[in-house]
Amino acid sequence: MSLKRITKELNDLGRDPPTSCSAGPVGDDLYHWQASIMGPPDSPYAGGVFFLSIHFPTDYPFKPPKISFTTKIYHPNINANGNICLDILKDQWSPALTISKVLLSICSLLTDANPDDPLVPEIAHIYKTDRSKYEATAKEWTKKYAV
Amino acid sequence: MTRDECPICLEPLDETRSRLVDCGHEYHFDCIRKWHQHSQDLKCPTCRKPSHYLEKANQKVKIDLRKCGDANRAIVELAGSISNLALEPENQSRSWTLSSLECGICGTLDSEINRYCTVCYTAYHERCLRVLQLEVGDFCHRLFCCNCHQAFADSDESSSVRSRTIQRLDMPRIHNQPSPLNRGSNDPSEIDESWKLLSQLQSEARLQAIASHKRSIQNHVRRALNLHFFDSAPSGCRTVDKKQFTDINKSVSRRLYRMSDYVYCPESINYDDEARRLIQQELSRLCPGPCTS
Repeated sequence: MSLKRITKELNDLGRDPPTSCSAGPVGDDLYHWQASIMGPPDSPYAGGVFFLSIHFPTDYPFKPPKISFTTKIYHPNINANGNICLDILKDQWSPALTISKVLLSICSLLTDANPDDPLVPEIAHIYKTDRSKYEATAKEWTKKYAV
Repeated sequence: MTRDECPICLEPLDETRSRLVDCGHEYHFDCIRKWHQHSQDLKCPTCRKPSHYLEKANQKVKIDLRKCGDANRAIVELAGSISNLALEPENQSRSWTLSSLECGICGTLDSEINRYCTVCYTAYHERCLRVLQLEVGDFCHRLFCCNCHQAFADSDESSSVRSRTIQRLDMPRIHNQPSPLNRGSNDPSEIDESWKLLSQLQSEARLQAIASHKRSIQNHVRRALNLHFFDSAPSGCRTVDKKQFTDINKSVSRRLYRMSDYVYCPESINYDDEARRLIQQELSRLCPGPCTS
Protein backbone atom coordinates (compact mmCIF):
# COMPACT_ATOMS: atom_id res chain seq x y z
CA MET A 1 0.00 0.00 0.00
CA SER A 2 2.83 2.43 0.91
CA LEU A 3 4.05 3.17 -2.62
CA LYS A 4 0.54 3.78 -3.93
CA ARG A 5 -0.30 6.10 -1.09
CA ILE A 6 3.02 8.02 -1.42
CA THR A 7 2.37 8.47 -5.15
CA LYS A 8 -1.13 9.65 -4.37
CA GLU A 9 0.18 12.22 -1.90
CA LEU A 10 2.72 13.42 -4.45
CA ASN A 11 -0.05 13.91 -7.02
CA ASP A 12 -2.22 15.74 -4.50
CA LEU A 13 0.69 18.02 -3.56
CA GLY A 14 1.17 18.86 -7.22
CA ARG A 15 -2.54 19.49 -7.80
CA ASP A 16 -3.13 21.55 -4.70
CA PRO A 17 0.22 22.77 -3.32
CA PRO A 18 0.04 24.11 0.23
CA THR A 19 1.13 27.69 0.78
CA SER A 20 4.45 28.16 2.56
CA CYS A 21 5.73 24.62 2.04
CA SER A 22 6.68 22.20 -0.73
CA ALA A 23 7.80 18.58 -0.89
CA GLY A 24 8.85 15.97 -3.42
CA PRO A 25 11.16 13.01 -4.01
CA VAL A 26 14.91 13.66 -3.99
CA GLY A 27 15.74 11.34 -6.88
CA ASP A 28 14.18 8.18 -8.21
CA ASP A 29 13.49 6.88 -4.72
CA LEU A 30 9.88 7.66 -3.89
CA TYR A 31 10.53 6.77 -0.25
CA HIS A 32 12.98 9.65 0.21
CA TRP A 33 11.69 13.18 -0.15
CA GLN A 34 12.93 16.67 0.48
CA ALA A 35 10.64 19.38 1.78
CA SER A 36 10.95 23.10 2.36
CA ILE A 37 9.11 25.33 4.78
CA MET A 38 8.98 29.14 4.65
CA GLY A 39 9.53 30.66 8.06
CA PRO A 40 6.09 31.84 9.30
CA PRO A 41 5.74 35.65 9.04
CA ASP A 42 4.69 36.02 12.70
CA SER A 43 7.77 34.19 13.99
CA PRO A 44 11.49 34.90 14.37
CA TYR A 45 12.01 32.50 11.45
CA ALA A 46 10.32 34.87 8.96
CA GLY A 47 12.24 35.29 5.73
CA GLY A 48 14.05 31.97 6.06
CA VAL A 49 13.59 28.85 3.99
CA PHE A 50 14.10 25.65 5.94
CA PHE A 51 14.82 22.33 4.29
CA LEU A 52 13.76 18.98 5.68
CA SER A 53 14.41 15.40 4.70
CA ILE A 54 11.58 12.87 4.74
CA HIS A 55 12.02 9.10 4.82
CA PHE A 56 8.91 6.95 4.44
CA PRO A 57 8.87 3.57 6.16
CA THR A 58 7.76 0.63 4.03
CA ASP A 59 4.65 0.23 6.18
CA TYR A 60 3.61 3.86 5.69
CA PRO A 61 0.96 5.16 6.50
CA PHE A 62 0.70 2.76 9.42
CA LYS A 63 4.05 4.01 10.71
CA PRO A 64 4.99 7.71 10.72
CA PRO A 65 7.49 9.14 8.23
CA LYS A 66 10.92 10.12 9.59
CA ILE A 67 11.25 13.86 9.19
CA SER A 68 14.22 16.01 10.17
CA PHE A 69 15.48 19.51 9.47
CA THR A 70 18.56 19.72 7.26
CA THR A 71 18.78 23.49 7.78
CA LYS A 72 20.09 24.56 11.19
CA ILE A 73 17.38 26.13 13.30
CA TYR A 74 17.22 27.59 16.84
CA HIS A 75 14.10 26.09 18.39
CA PRO A 76 13.33 24.38 21.73
CA ASN A 77 11.79 21.34 19.97
CA ILE A 78 14.42 20.87 17.24
CA ASN A 79 17.93 19.76 18.10
CA ALA A 80 21.32 20.23 16.41
CA ASN A 81 20.79 17.08 14.29
CA GLY A 82 17.52 18.48 13.00
CA ASN A 83 15.40 15.97 14.94
CA ILE A 84 11.94 17.26 15.68
CA CYS A 85 10.07 16.62 18.90
CA LEU A 86 6.51 16.47 17.68
CA ASP A 87 3.93 14.06 19.05
CA ILE A 88 2.26 13.36 15.69
CA LEU A 89 5.61 12.07 14.36
CA LYS A 90 5.75 9.59 17.23
CA ASP A 91 3.02 8.10 19.41
CA GLN A 92 0.29 10.42 18.15
CA TRP A 93 0.78 9.46 14.51
CA SER A 94 -2.40 8.70 12.59
CA PRO A 95 -2.65 7.12 9.14
CA ALA A 96 -5.11 9.86 8.22
CA LEU A 97 -2.24 12.38 8.39
CA THR A 98 -0.46 13.29 5.19
CA ILE A 99 2.91 14.94 4.51
CA SER A 100 1.06 18.13 3.70
CA LYS A 101 -0.68 18.11 7.09
CA VAL A 102 2.51 17.20 8.92
CA LEU A 103 4.40 20.07 7.26
CA LEU A 104 1.64 22.46 8.32
CA SER A 105 1.97 21.15 11.89
CA ILE A 106 5.70 21.79 11.73
CA CYS A 107 4.93 25.34 10.55
CA SER A 108 2.73 25.90 13.58
CA LEU A 109 5.43 24.42 15.79
CA LEU A 110 7.74 27.16 14.46
CA THR A 111 5.16 29.81 15.43
CA ASP A 112 4.26 28.23 18.76
CA ALA A 113 7.07 26.28 20.33
CA ASN A 114 6.28 23.79 23.04
CA PRO A 115 8.82 24.56 25.79
CA ASP A 116 7.16 22.16 28.22
CA ASP A 117 8.23 19.16 26.13
CA PRO A 118 11.61 20.36 24.92
CA LEU A 119 14.25 18.54 22.92
CA VAL A 120 16.86 21.20 23.74
CA PRO A 121 16.28 22.18 27.39
CA GLU A 122 18.72 25.14 27.20
CA ILE A 123 16.73 26.80 24.43
CA ALA A 124 13.48 25.97 26.23
CA HIS A 125 14.83 27.65 29.38
CA ILE A 126 15.74 30.85 27.51
CA TYR A 127 12.37 30.72 25.71
CA LYS A 128 10.58 30.69 29.05
CA THR A 129 12.75 33.18 30.94
CA ASP A 130 13.97 35.64 28.31
CA ARG A 131 11.73 35.57 25.26
CA SER A 132 13.42 38.54 23.56
CA LYS A 133 16.82 36.84 23.77
CA TYR A 134 15.33 33.67 22.27
CA GLU A 135 13.77 35.66 19.43
CA ALA A 136 17.00 37.54 18.74
CA THR A 137 19.03 34.32 18.57
CA ALA A 138 16.40 32.59 16.42
CA LYS A 139 16.41 35.57 14.01
CA GLU A 140 20.21 35.55 13.92
CA TRP A 141 20.32 31.83 13.10
CA THR A 142 17.63 32.26 10.44
CA LYS A 143 19.67 35.03 8.78
CA LYS A 144 22.86 32.96 9.05
CA TYR A 145 21.58 29.54 7.89
CA ALA A 146 18.21 29.92 6.18
CA VAL A 147 18.37 33.01 4.01
CA MET B 1 -9.41 14.85 0.75
CA THR B 2 -12.89 14.38 -0.59
CA ARG B 3 -15.72 12.83 1.40
CA ASP B 4 -15.61 9.58 -0.51
CA GLU B 5 -11.94 8.84 -0.06
CA CYS B 6 -10.56 6.43 2.50
CA PRO B 7 -8.39 8.62 4.78
CA ILE B 8 -5.85 5.81 5.13
CA CYS B 9 -5.09 4.76 1.57
CA LEU B 10 -6.55 7.88 -0.11
CA GLU B 11 -8.36 5.64 -2.62
CA PRO B 12 -12.10 5.93 -3.33
CA LEU B 13 -14.37 4.15 -0.88
CA ASP B 14 -16.21 1.22 -2.46
CA GLU B 15 -18.47 -1.57 -1.24
CA THR B 16 -15.75 -2.66 1.22
CA ARG B 17 -16.26 0.56 3.17
CA SER B 18 -16.89 0.37 6.89
CA ARG B 19 -17.97 2.94 9.46
CA LEU B 20 -16.80 3.53 12.99
CA VAL B 21 -20.08 3.61 14.83
CA ASP B 22 -19.16 6.15 17.52
CA CYS B 23 -17.89 8.93 15.25
CA GLY B 24 -19.23 7.91 11.84
CA HIS B 25 -15.89 8.18 9.99
CA GLU B 26 -15.56 5.75 7.09
CA TYR B 27 -12.61 3.67 5.94
CA HIS B 28 -12.01 0.59 3.83
CA PHE B 29 -12.56 -2.35 6.14
CA ASP B 30 -9.05 -3.72 5.47
CA CYS B 31 -7.42 -0.32 6.00
CA ILE B 32 -8.96 0.39 9.40
CA ARG B 33 -8.38 -3.19 10.59
CA LYS B 34 -4.75 -2.95 9.56
CA TRP B 35 -4.46 0.28 11.53
CA HIS B 36 -6.02 -1.36 14.58
CA GLN B 37 -3.35 -4.03 14.36
CA HIS B 38 -0.62 -1.37 14.30
CA SER B 39 -2.02 0.94 16.98
CA GLN B 40 -2.50 -0.13 20.53
CA ASP B 41 -5.75 1.77 20.93
CA LEU B 42 -9.02 1.97 19.04
CA LYS B 43 -9.09 5.69 18.33
CA CYS B 44 -10.43 6.97 15.04
CA PRO B 45 -7.48 8.06 12.84
CA THR B 46 -9.41 11.15 11.77
CA CYS B 47 -10.93 12.50 15.01
CA ARG B 48 -9.11 10.40 17.62
CA LYS B 49 -12.38 9.57 19.30
CA PRO B 50 -12.31 6.05 20.77
CA SER B 51 -14.54 3.79 18.66
CA HIS B 52 -15.41 0.36 19.86
CA TYR B 53 -17.73 -0.72 17.09
CA LEU B 54 -17.16 -1.04 13.38
CA GLU B 55 -20.00 -1.50 10.91
CA LYS B 56 -19.50 -3.00 7.46
CA ALA B 57 -21.47 -1.11 4.81
CA ASN B 58 -22.62 -4.09 2.73
CA GLN B 59 -23.56 -6.28 5.68
CA LYS B 60 -25.39 -5.12 8.74
CA VAL B 61 -22.71 -6.58 10.96
CA LYS B 62 -21.43 -4.71 13.96
CA ILE B 63 -17.99 -5.81 15.04
CA ASP B 64 -16.92 -5.36 18.65
CA LEU B 65 -13.39 -4.12 18.19
CA ARG B 66 -12.39 -4.73 21.79
CA LYS B 67 -13.07 -8.45 21.46
CA CYS B 68 -11.57 -8.70 18.00
CA GLY B 69 -8.61 -6.60 19.03
CA ASP B 70 -7.31 -9.16 21.49
CA ALA B 71 -7.89 -12.06 19.12
CA ASN B 72 -6.30 -10.17 16.27
CA ARG B 73 -3.22 -9.28 18.25
CA ALA B 74 -2.81 -12.89 19.27
CA ILE B 75 -3.09 -13.98 15.62
CA VAL B 76 -0.60 -11.36 14.48
CA GLU B 77 1.88 -12.38 17.17
CA LEU B 78 1.47 -16.03 16.29
CA ALA B 79 1.87 -15.33 12.58
CA GLY B 80 5.02 -13.36 13.34
CA SER B 81 6.58 -16.17 15.34
CA ILE B 82 5.61 -18.77 12.72
CA SER B 83 7.21 -16.77 9.92
CA ASN B 84 10.33 -16.42 12.07
CA LEU B 85 10.42 -20.16 12.59
CA ALA B 86 9.94 -20.82 8.91
CA LEU B 87 12.63 -18.40 7.79
CA GLU B 88 15.44 -19.72 9.95
CA PRO B 89 15.93 -23.23 8.54
CA GLU B 90 15.37 -22.01 4.99
CA ASN B 91 18.24 -19.57 5.32
CA GLN B 92 20.52 -22.22 6.78
CA SER B 93 19.79 -24.83 4.14
CA ARG B 94 20.48 -22.54 1.20
CA SER B 95 23.53 -23.46 -0.81
CA TRP B 96 24.63 -23.91 -4.38
CA THR B 97 22.08 -26.05 -6.19
CA LEU B 98 21.55 -26.67 -9.87
CA SER B 99 18.94 -23.93 -10.05
CA SER B 100 21.22 -21.52 -8.23
CA LEU B 101 23.74 -22.05 -11.02
CA GLU B 102 21.35 -20.44 -13.48
CA CYS B 103 21.53 -16.73 -14.17
CA GLY B 104 19.16 -15.11 -11.68
CA ILE B 105 17.96 -12.68 -14.35
CA CYS B 106 17.72 -14.49 -17.68
CA GLY B 107 17.51 -18.02 -16.26
CA THR B 108 20.10 -19.43 -18.65
CA LEU B 109 22.63 -21.94 -17.38
CA ASP B 110 25.81 -21.55 -19.40
CA SER B 111 29.52 -21.03 -19.09
CA GLU B 112 29.17 -17.28 -19.48
CA ILE B 113 27.84 -16.89 -15.94
CA ASN B 114 30.51 -14.80 -14.29
CA ARG B 115 28.98 -13.23 -11.18
CA TYR B 116 28.14 -15.14 -8.05
CA CYS B 117 26.46 -13.79 -4.94
CA THR B 118 27.87 -15.69 -1.97
CA VAL B 119 25.28 -14.24 0.40
CA CYS B 120 22.07 -15.54 -1.19
CA TYR B 121 23.62 -18.05 -3.61
CA THR B 122 22.47 -16.55 -6.87
CA ALA B 123 24.40 -16.58 -10.13
CA TYR B 124 24.30 -13.91 -12.81
CA HIS B 125 25.69 -12.92 -16.14
CA GLU B 126 27.48 -9.65 -15.60
CA ARG B 127 25.87 -8.38 -18.80
CA CYS B 128 22.37 -9.15 -17.42
CA LEU B 129 23.18 -7.20 -14.24
CA ARG B 130 24.52 -4.28 -16.30
CA VAL B 131 21.44 -4.21 -18.52
CA LEU B 132 19.22 -4.24 -15.44
CA GLN B 133 21.30 -1.46 -13.91
CA LEU B 134 20.77 0.65 -17.03
CA GLU B 135 17.07 -0.09 -17.06
CA VAL B 136 16.62 1.13 -13.50
CA GLY B 137 18.85 4.16 -14.15
CA ASP B 138 21.66 3.15 -11.80
CA PHE B 139 24.95 4.25 -13.35
CA CYS B 140 27.06 3.12 -10.46
CA HIS B 141 30.23 1.22 -11.36
CA ARG B 142 29.72 -1.44 -8.70
CA LEU B 143 27.36 -4.33 -9.25
CA PHE B 144 24.81 -5.47 -6.71
CA CYS B 145 23.01 -8.76 -6.35
CA CYS B 146 19.44 -8.02 -7.42
CA ASN B 147 18.18 -10.63 -4.98
CA CYS B 148 19.79 -9.57 -1.70
CA HIS B 149 21.38 -6.25 -2.80
CA GLN B 150 24.81 -7.30 -1.60
CA ALA B 151 27.60 -5.62 -3.55
CA PHE B 152 29.86 -7.90 -5.56
CA ALA B 153 33.52 -7.55 -4.69
CA ASP B 154 35.51 -6.43 -7.71
CA SER B 155 37.62 -9.37 -8.74
CA ASP B 156 41.36 -9.04 -9.31
CA GLU B 157 43.51 -11.13 -11.58
CA SER B 158 45.48 -13.54 -9.44
CA SER B 159 47.65 -16.45 -10.44
CA SER B 160 47.03 -18.32 -7.21
CA VAL B 161 43.32 -18.23 -7.86
CA ARG B 162 43.95 -19.58 -11.33
CA SER B 163 45.92 -22.55 -10.10
CA ARG B 164 43.40 -23.31 -7.37
CA THR B 165 40.64 -23.17 -9.93
CA ILE B 166 42.41 -25.56 -12.24
CA GLN B 167 42.83 -28.00 -9.37
CA ARG B 168 39.15 -27.76 -8.70
CA LEU B 169 38.20 -28.20 -12.32
CA ASP B 170 40.37 -31.31 -12.50
CA MET B 171 38.55 -32.96 -9.63
CA PRO B 172 36.28 -35.75 -10.81
CA ARG B 173 32.67 -34.69 -11.10
CA ILE B 174 30.21 -37.32 -10.00
CA HIS B 175 26.48 -36.87 -9.86
CA ASN B 176 24.90 -36.44 -6.42
CA GLN B 177 28.23 -35.35 -5.07
CA PRO B 178 28.68 -31.81 -3.87
CA SER B 179 29.80 -29.57 -6.66
CA PRO B 180 33.44 -28.53 -6.46
CA LEU B 181 32.14 -24.99 -5.97
CA ASN B 182 30.63 -26.11 -2.69
CA ARG B 183 34.01 -26.75 -1.25
CA GLY B 184 35.42 -23.44 -2.36
CA SER B 185 35.90 -20.58 -0.02
CA ASN B 186 33.27 -17.92 0.29
CA ASP B 187 35.56 -15.33 -1.20
CA PRO B 188 33.33 -13.84 -3.91
CA SER B 189 36.26 -12.63 -6.00
CA GLU B 190 37.60 -16.15 -6.14
CA ILE B 191 34.32 -17.58 -7.32
CA ASP B 192 33.92 -14.78 -9.85
CA GLU B 193 37.39 -15.62 -11.04
CA SER B 194 36.57 -19.31 -11.28
CA TRP B 195 33.64 -18.65 -13.51
CA LYS B 196 35.64 -16.34 -15.75
CA LEU B 197 38.35 -18.96 -16.03
CA LEU B 198 35.91 -21.78 -16.61
CA SER B 199 34.34 -20.04 -19.58
CA GLN B 200 37.79 -19.13 -20.90
CA LEU B 201 38.95 -22.73 -20.65
CA GLN B 202 35.83 -23.95 -22.38
CA SER B 203 36.17 -21.59 -25.31
CA GLU B 204 39.87 -22.47 -25.57
CA ALA B 205 39.02 -26.15 -25.63
CA ARG B 206 36.43 -25.55 -28.33
CA LEU B 207 38.92 -23.68 -30.49
CA GLN B 208 41.54 -26.38 -29.94
CA ALA B 209 39.14 -29.12 -30.98
CA ILE B 210 38.28 -27.28 -34.19
CA ALA B 211 41.97 -26.71 -34.91
CA SER B 212 42.82 -30.39 -34.55
CA HIS B 213 40.00 -31.39 -36.90
CA LYS B 214 41.24 -28.85 -39.42
CA ARG B 215 44.78 -30.16 -39.16
CA SER B 216 43.68 -33.75 -39.88
CA ILE B 217 41.73 -32.66 -42.96
CA GLN B 218 44.58 -30.51 -44.18
CA ASN B 219 47.00 -33.47 -44.03
CA HIS B 220 45.00 -35.18 -46.76
CA VAL B 221 44.95 -32.06 -48.91
CA ARG B 222 48.69 -31.58 -48.53
CA ARG B 223 49.38 -35.19 -49.46
CA ALA B 224 47.23 -34.95 -52.56
CA LEU B 225 48.59 -31.57 -53.52
CA ASN B 226 52.20 -32.64 -53.09
CA LEU B 227 51.75 -34.88 -56.12
CA HIS B 228 51.39 -31.73 -58.19
CA PHE B 229 54.13 -29.71 -56.54
CA PHE B 230 57.12 -29.40 -58.86
CA ASP B 231 59.88 -31.65 -57.55
CA SER B 232 57.73 -34.39 -56.13
CA ALA B 233 55.36 -34.36 -59.06
CA PRO B 234 55.30 -37.59 -61.02
CA SER B 235 55.69 -37.07 -64.73
CA GLY B 236 52.53 -36.14 -66.54
CA CYS B 237 51.04 -34.18 -63.69
CA ARG B 238 50.73 -30.43 -63.90
CA THR B 239 53.21 -28.71 -61.66
CA VAL B 240 52.22 -25.73 -59.59
CA ASP B 241 54.30 -22.99 -58.05
CA LYS B 242 54.45 -22.11 -54.38
CA LYS B 243 51.76 -19.43 -54.51
CA GLN B 244 49.37 -21.68 -56.41
CA PHE B 245 50.08 -24.46 -53.94
CA THR B 246 49.11 -22.21 -51.02
CA ASP B 247 45.97 -20.94 -52.76
CA ILE B 248 44.76 -24.37 -53.76
CA ASN B 249 45.57 -25.77 -50.34
CA LYS B 250 43.54 -23.03 -48.72
CA SER B 251 40.46 -23.22 -50.90
CA VAL B 252 40.33 -27.04 -51.06
CA SER B 253 40.81 -27.35 -47.30
CA ARG B 254 38.06 -24.81 -46.70
CA ARG B 255 35.65 -26.71 -48.91
CA LEU B 256 36.47 -29.94 -47.11
CA TYR B 257 35.93 -28.33 -43.68
CA ARG B 258 32.51 -27.20 -44.78
CA MET B 259 31.73 -30.55 -46.38
CA SER B 260 32.48 -32.34 -43.08
CA ASP B 261 31.00 -29.61 -40.89
CA TYR B 262 34.35 -28.87 -39.24
CA VAL B 263 34.56 -32.34 -37.76
CA TYR B 264 37.12 -34.79 -39.14
CA CYS B 265 35.19 -37.95 -40.02
CA PRO B 266 37.29 -40.30 -42.15
CA GLU B 267 34.60 -43.00 -41.77
CA SER B 268 32.08 -41.17 -43.91
CA ILE B 269 34.27 -39.09 -46.19
CA ASN B 270 37.19 -40.33 -48.27
CA TYR B 271 39.34 -37.25 -47.80
CA ASP B 272 42.06 -38.39 -50.22
CA ASP B 273 39.59 -38.88 -53.09
CA GLU B 274 37.73 -35.68 -52.32
CA ALA B 275 40.97 -33.71 -52.07
CA ARG B 276 42.17 -35.05 -55.42
CA ARG B 277 38.86 -34.24 -57.10
CA LEU B 278 38.77 -30.69 -55.72
CA ILE B 279 42.41 -30.08 -56.60
CA GLN B 280 41.67 -31.09 -60.20
CA GLN B 281 38.82 -28.60 -60.23
CA GLU B 282 41.06 -25.86 -58.90
CA LEU B 283 43.79 -26.67 -61.41
CA SER B 284 41.46 -26.56 -64.36
CA ARG B 285 40.11 -23.22 -63.11
CA LEU B 286 43.65 -21.81 -62.65
CA CYS B 287 44.98 -22.80 -66.05
CA PRO B 288 42.29 -23.82 -68.51
CA GLY B 289 43.27 -26.54 -70.88
CA PRO B 290 43.55 -30.29 -70.78
CA CYS B 291 45.12 -31.65 -67.67
CA THR B 292 46.90 -34.86 -68.18
CA SER B 293 46.72 -37.06 -65.22
